[in-house]
Amino acid sequence: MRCHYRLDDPAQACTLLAALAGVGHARQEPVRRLKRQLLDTFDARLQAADLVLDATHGKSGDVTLTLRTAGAARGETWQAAELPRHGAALTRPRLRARLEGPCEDRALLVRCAAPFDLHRVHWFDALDKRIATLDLEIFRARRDAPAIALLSVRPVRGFERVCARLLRALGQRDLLSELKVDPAIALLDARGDVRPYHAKPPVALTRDMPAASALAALFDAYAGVMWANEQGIIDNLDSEFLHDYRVALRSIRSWHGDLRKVLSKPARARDRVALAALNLVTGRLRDLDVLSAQLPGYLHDSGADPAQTAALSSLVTTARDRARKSLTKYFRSHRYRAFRRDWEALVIDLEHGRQTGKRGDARLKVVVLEALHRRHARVLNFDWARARAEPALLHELRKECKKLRYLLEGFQRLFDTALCRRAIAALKRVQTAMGDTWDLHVHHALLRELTAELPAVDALARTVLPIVIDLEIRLTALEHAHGELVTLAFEQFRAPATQRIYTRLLERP
Amino acid sequence: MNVFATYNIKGGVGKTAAAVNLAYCASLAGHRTLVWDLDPQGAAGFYFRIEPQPEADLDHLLDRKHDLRRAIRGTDYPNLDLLPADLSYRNLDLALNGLKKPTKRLEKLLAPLADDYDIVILDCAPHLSRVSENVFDVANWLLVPIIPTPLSVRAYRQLRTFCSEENLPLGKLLPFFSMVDRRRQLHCELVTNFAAGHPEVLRSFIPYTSQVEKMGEQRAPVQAFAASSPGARAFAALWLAVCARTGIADGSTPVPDGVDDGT
Repeated sequence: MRCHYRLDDPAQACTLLAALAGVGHARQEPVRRLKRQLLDTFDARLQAADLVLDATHGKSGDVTLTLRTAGAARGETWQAAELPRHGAALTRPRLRARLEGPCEDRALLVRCAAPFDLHRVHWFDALDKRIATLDLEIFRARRDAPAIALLSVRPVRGFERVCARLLRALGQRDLLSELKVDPAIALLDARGDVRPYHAKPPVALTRDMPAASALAALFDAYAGVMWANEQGIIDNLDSEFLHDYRVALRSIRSWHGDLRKVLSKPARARDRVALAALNLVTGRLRDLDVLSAQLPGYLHDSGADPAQTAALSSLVTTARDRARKSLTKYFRSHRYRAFRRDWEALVIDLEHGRQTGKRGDARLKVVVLEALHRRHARVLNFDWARARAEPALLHELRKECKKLRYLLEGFQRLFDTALCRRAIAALKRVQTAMGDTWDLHVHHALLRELTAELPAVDALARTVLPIVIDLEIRLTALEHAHGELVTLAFEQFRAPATQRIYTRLLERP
Repeated sequence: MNVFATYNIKGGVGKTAAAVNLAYCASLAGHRTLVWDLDPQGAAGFYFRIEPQPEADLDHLLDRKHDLRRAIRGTDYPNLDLLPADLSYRNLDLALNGLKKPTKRLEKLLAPLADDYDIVILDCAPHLSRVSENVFDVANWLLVPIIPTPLSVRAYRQLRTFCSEENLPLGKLLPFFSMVDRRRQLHCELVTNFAAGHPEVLRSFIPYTSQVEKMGEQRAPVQAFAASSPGARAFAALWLAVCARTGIADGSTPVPDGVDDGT
């Protein structure tokens, strides 16, 4: 049974060490300087699943990884040359199975890194048999984090009682307090290296607050999500970074447009252009990400031979790499840096009542209700007969639905929660059906575009073209088949039962 | 869980030294290993500096309600535990005779440990008895140290005859030569001739070395205090030969899964 303690005053480490070394027959190992890193996905999925994955780096560059249930006395350790990027990257089946479930395909990132001095003491009995190993880990103080010292006691199996007796004697020295949480969590709490990440961060909004202040808070929180995901996109860790980035970007863009009268005209005009450009530059990579993910499924039933599959996959991967490099370049450009500066300045201005439009001081709920009414009407009054036939128009309708959803999600706190959730769920069904159809349309177009770029005499073109033609036919057929689902979903959305939810939700006070 | 037993009808052939050192090799290879000392002399416990435990005495052992795990003690080495012997084991035979299904007792006792250990090594006392029958029943492999002397070879032949008569699979037997003194002509001749007629004999053998004898003084596996000595190298080679024969991961390639870091 392993026990963990926290040294109340890290400055007392020397006193504690002397005490540990003075108990029974003790031997102390030379001090080692190590570094501990706690790994988790960016949205802390391991922590949510009560798992702790930590890595200890030795001086020689070796990494010892430990995976355990939070608070558990035992875990599984293994050596690795480098940190695993994904749960799926592990070669050992049991570890991979334990990590893959909670992480899915999310990348593993360093949530907290802390160098520490390891003081290891062994306790022996009268026969010179080791009965316990005690590790005192002293994490050094940093500018923004205090020093912290943790003691873990590992009695050798069968010697727990002897060890407990010795520990009781030590406990009387009033130096230690027992840790109720996993040491990794204690370390994370003490260091506070990473603030909790939410793809849709909660923002405290009230019905009567000025619309400009609310918009400033939302812009600040969601821009934070964008900035948090930038590095993941640049490092090409996981397609989910771009997904979250784009959800935050589209939410901001949607509120920016729907509540435009809250902002001053110059601010509106400047940021509208910048946000649109950012949407465009990220959109290409996102489309290719989705195509890369879907391609194996498309090819599965197509009867493509392995050479064709490999050639087409490589074509898409190359295009994706190009798009990623282009986006990385954009992220590093003066234009993007200027946008970030301007955006942060806009948030501060809005907080201080500057750069506001004529509805800047209006009550938030009133402004949001106006926008919701407008947006809801646009969805219902959309030329559905034409949208069913034309993919581009259907996509426009989908965007209207999305904007309505972003409004509902962003300002959910102003409304009855249960009602709002039902309204969002109804909208989500339509969006999913439309999104699937649009994805097929985009993938169809992308494949055509990628193969059109190939020279006609090229060997790659000769390999890939037959399968692309086949896929085009199949994707078009699928798109038509999906059309029925979209109609069904939209009819459900327009049904009186669903619209009654919206009527109740959009009642003016 | 793979169960090995170091067994020979004859005493003083190096069963305990083999059990302790092979268990150490297994633990180094990343296998969670338990040595169960069935010999009332308790020599394995002596090598690991662990004294007999009251929870491991015969009464507790045969008590159905008693959890055997309570008697297990950790050694000084990761992944290696010991279930120490007790002097009361001298009466184990008599006690087993009074039970129903006396040859299945060890199997029942070991079953709950299947999740805790990858390898269990039973260090047996030198006799052919009810305990031996239990060992034959539960062990996947019998490691049989043979000293290259006529008496020891005779004991091995007796064991084979017993196995044949009792319809026990002879493939379980993994004989190897122990305490081989290559200065002696008799040893050299016996090793060569016997191995030629018995393909089941492992090619690795343990030489007679002072370092193995010093285990009693150091109270540790020979690899723990003299890793580069001929004795330590011989046990490492024997471990590899056992792995090759049994298909167990020998540690030169990673163990299929993470290793429990609990001590």
